[in-house]
Amino acid sequence: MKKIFSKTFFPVLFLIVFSKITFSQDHSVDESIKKGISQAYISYISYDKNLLMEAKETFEKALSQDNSNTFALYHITYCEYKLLEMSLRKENEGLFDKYYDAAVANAEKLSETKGIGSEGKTLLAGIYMMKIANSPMSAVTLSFKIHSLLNEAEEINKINPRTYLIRGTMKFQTPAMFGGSFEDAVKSFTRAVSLFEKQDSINALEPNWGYLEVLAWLGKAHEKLENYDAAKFAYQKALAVEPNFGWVKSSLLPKLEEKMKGKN
Amino acid sequence: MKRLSLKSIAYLALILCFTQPLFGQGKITIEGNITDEKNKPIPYANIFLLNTTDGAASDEDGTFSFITSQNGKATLIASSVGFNKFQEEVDLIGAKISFSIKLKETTINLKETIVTGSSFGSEKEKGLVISRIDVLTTPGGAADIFQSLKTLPGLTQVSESAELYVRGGDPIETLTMIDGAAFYHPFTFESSYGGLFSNLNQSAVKGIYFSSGGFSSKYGNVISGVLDIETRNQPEANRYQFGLSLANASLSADIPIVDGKFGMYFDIRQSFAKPLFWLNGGLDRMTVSPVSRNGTGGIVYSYSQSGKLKLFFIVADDKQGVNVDRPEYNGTFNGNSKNLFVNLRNTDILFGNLIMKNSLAYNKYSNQWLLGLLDITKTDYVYTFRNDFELSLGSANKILWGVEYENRKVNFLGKIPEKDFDIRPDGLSKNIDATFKGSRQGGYAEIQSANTFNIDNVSFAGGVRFDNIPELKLNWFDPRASLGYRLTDKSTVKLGWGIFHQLPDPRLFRPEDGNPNLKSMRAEHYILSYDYALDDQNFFRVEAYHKKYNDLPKENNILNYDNSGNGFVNGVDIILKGTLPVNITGWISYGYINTKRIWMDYDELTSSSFDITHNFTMVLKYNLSEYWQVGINTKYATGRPYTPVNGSIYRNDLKLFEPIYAQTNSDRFPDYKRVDLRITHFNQIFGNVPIVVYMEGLNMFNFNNIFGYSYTPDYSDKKEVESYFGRRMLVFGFMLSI
Repeated sequence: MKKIFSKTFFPVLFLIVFSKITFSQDHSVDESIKKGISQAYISYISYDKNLLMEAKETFEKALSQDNSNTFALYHITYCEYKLLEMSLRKENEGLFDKYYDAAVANAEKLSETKGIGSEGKTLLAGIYMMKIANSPMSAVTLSFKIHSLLNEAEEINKINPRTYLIRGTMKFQTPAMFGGSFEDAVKSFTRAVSLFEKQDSINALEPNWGYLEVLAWLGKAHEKLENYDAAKFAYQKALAVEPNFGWVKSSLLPKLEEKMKGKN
Repeated sequence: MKRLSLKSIAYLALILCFTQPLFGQGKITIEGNITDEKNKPIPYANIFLLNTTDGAASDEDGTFSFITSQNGKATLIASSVGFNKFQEEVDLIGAKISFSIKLKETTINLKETIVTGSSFGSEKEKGLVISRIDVLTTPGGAADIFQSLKTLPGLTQVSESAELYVRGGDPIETLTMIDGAAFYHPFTFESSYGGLFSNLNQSAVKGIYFSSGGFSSKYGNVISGVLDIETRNQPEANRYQFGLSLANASLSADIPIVDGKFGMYFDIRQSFAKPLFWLNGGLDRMTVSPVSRNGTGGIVYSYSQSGKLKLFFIVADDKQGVNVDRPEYNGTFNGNSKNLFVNLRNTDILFGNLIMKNSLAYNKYSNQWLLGLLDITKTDYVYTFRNDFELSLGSANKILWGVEYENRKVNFLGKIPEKDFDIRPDGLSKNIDATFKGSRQGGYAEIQSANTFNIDNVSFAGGVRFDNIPELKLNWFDPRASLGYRLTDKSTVKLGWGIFHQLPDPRLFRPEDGNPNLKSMRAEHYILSYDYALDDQNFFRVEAYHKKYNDLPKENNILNYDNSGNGFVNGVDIILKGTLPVNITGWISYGYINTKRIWMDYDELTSSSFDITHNFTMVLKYNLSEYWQVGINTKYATGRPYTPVNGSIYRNDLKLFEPIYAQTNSDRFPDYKRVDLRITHFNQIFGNVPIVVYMEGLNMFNFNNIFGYSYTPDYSDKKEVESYFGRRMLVFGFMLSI
C-alpha cells in the first residue's frame, strides 16, 4: 500500500485529473462554439431572429466558461451585427438600440486583438454601416470611419474575403451622389468570392461566414447593372451551395427570373 | 493461378470500352486567362458557363480555372466592369480546355477620360468630386449649394452673396441649368449686391457639374462658367424631415407611390432673419428683416426601364428692407421678388445605345427695388426647350448633338434716377417702360473619343455650336476642343480651348438708357491642367488659364452703349482634396488671378471689379466620434477693387454735391478674411428618430469685412458699410427625420 501511495502518486494523480478537467472544459467550450456557429448559420439561411439569439446565448455561455476565448467573443459580435441587420425590418425595430452599443464595444475590442484584428475591424465597419442604415445622417461622421477601418483591415490581412464583402456592400448601399457605385460593388464582391473559393481550410472555430451572403450581393449588384446572366449565375451558385438559402430562393432569384422573362 | 481465357479478356475489353466514356464523362477543367485588348490581365472578372453553377473569378494575374461536369455544347460567358460581355459557344470535350479571352472596353471609360478641364462634379465621371455631404456640412455654407461651391478654386470672393464670380467674370457670365433648362434667377434677396442664397434646395439635387472654363459645346450663351444641376429621381422610401434654426424653418417629404416607378418629393422652407439679427446685432439696419419662402418639389414617373418623366418646380418669394446711408439721401432700400420655375424633363434610351433627353421649361421672375426715387420692377419671362442626344459608337467614341430654343421677354417698368449720384425722391428721374424680347435658337455637335487615332491614353473632345438671335440679327459660331493625356493610372494632363459668346445683360438693351442694337460678348479660353487622383478621396489639381474678352459693352456718349469693350484674365487655380493626418478631411484651394477690362463706365484698361488677386479657402472637418463632427472654413481674399471718390463739386442746379471719382478701380477694399466654425451632433430621439443639431459661429474672429463705403454729403469723409457677415454671428438649429 505504501508503495502505491508513494510521494509522486498524488502529484501525478492531480496532474491527470487537472488536465482532464481542463481538456474537457476546452473541449466543451470548443463544442459550444461549434454548436453556436451551426445555429448562426441556420439562422442566417432562414433569417430567423430567435435562432440567432439562441446562437448568441450559446457563444456567451462559451465565453463565460473561458473569458479569454477570442473566437467566442468574435461570434457574439457577429450575432450582434446580424441582429442589427435584422432590426432594419419593421417587425424588429426595437432590436437596434438593444444591441448597437455592445456590438460596437465588442468589435472595438476585437479590432485591437492580435490575430483577429482584421476581422474585428471588418465587423466594426459592418456595424457602423448598420448604424447608417438605421440613421442616414450618421453617414456624415461614419462613412469616413468605415473606409478607414476597411483600409486598415485590408492592410492587416489582404486576403480576408469579409473585408471586400463589407466594402462592396458599402459601395452598393451608398447613393452615387455620395460616392457609391454598383461597378465598384461588383469588383469588391467578385474579389470576395474569389478569396472565399481559394482559401485554405481553416480552423472550425475561426470566422468563416459570408460566402453565401457575398454571392447574393454579387447577384444584386449585377442586376443593378443589368448583367442578368451573371446575376443568375451568382444566385444559382449560392443555391447550389445551400439549397435552403431563403433570401435567394424565395426572393432574389424568382424576382430576377420574372425580370428576365419580361425583358425577353 | 488460373490464367484468363481469351474469352474473358475479350469481355473485359468490351466492358472497358463502354465504361471508359462513362468514367471519362467526369469533370472537365476549364482554365485560361482573361485580358483587355492591350493584353493587360483583368483581375476578378467573372467567367462561367451559362445556365450552370460552374465558373470562377480570375486571379490578380488574370488567370482562372474551374471544373465542370457539363459536356458537349455550352455557352461560356466572361464579364468585368468596364468591359463588354464576352459570350461564345464552346465544345466541352476532353479533360482540360484552355481559353484566352479578350474583353473590349465599354464607354464607361469614356466618362473618366473625356471630362473637360476645370470641372467639378458630384459623381466620379463629372470631374473632381465635391459630394452632397460636402455641401451639407461645409461650415458657413448654410447647406447652400452656391455658397458651398464658392469654396472651390476658380470662384473668387468678390462679395458674400451666393453669386458665382468665375475666374474674373461677372456672375451673369455663369449659367445655371436645372435638368437642361436655363435658370437665370437662382437666388433669393437679389439686390445690386447680389443674391444671398440659392432658391434651389440641396435636397432636390441628384448631381452637380460645375465648370469654370473650357466647357462643352452643349452650353451656349455663356462665356465664363456653367453649373449644371440634375434633380433627383423618385424617392425609394417614405421620409419626412423637419428643420428649425435661428434663420429658417423647413419641412420636406419623400412620398413613393409605386415602388421604383412613381413618386414625389417636396421641400418647403421659410427664412426669417429677425431672430438671427436680434441675437447677433444688426437688426437696427433692417426696416423689414429679410424674409423668404421657398417651395421645391418634383413628381417622377418611370414609364419603362429606361424612360423617365420628371416634373420639377420651384416657387419662391422674398422681401427685405435695409437702411441705406447715401451722401445725398438716407432712406430705406426695399426689395421683393417672386420666382416660379417649372421644368418637364424626359430621358430615355432609343435603339439600345442612343440616349435622348428633352426638357421644356417656363420661368417667371419679377423683382422690385425701391430706394428714394428709384422704383423699378423687372419681370423676366423665359420659355426654353431643349433636345439632346448621345450616341455611343463602339467602346471608345461618342457623338453628342442637340438643339435648343429659348424665348425671353424682360420688362423694366418704373422710374430710375437721371444722375446716379442723386436718388433723392425729388431728384431728376426718367420713366422706364422697356421690354427686351428675343428668341435664341441654337444647336451643337460634339465628338468624344478615348484612345484617339489609336494613340494610347489620349482622349479628345471637340465640338461646335451655332446660335442665332433673329430679333437682333445676331448669330455666332463657337468651336471648342479639349485634349487629355493620361500620364499614369492616376494622373492626367488636359488642354482646353474654346470660343464662347453671350448676350449682355438685358437692361443694356433698354432704348431709354441702353442700346437695342448691342451685339454679343465674346470670350476665348485657353486652359492647361494637371490632375492627380490618388483615389476617390484624395485629389490634386493645378490649372493655368488665359481668357480673352472682346465685344464687351462699353458706355458710349451717342449710343449709350457699344461693343468696344475688351479685357483679359490670367490665372492659376490649385486644389488639394483628401485626408490629412489625424483623419482630418477636407480641401484647400488657392487661386491667383490677374484681370483687366475696359468696359461699361471704365475709361481705360484697368483692374476689373472682379480682380481678386489671391483667393484662399480651407475647409476641414474632423469626426470627434460617430456622434460629433467639427468643421472649420477659413477664407482669405485680396480686397476687391473699387473707385474711390477724390473730391466733389457743388451742383447749384441740383443743390447737392457731385462726386469726383479717381481712376476706375484704382483702390482696393481691405482684404477679406473670415473663419467659420461648426459643430454638429448626430443622435436619435424617441427611440429611433434621427436628429441633427448644429451650432455655427460665422466670422468667429470678428474680422471687419466691408462691402462698401458711405460718404458724407460733401464726400469729404467716408465710413465703412459692413458686409452681410461683417460681425461675429452665432447660428444654431436642428433637423429631424422620420
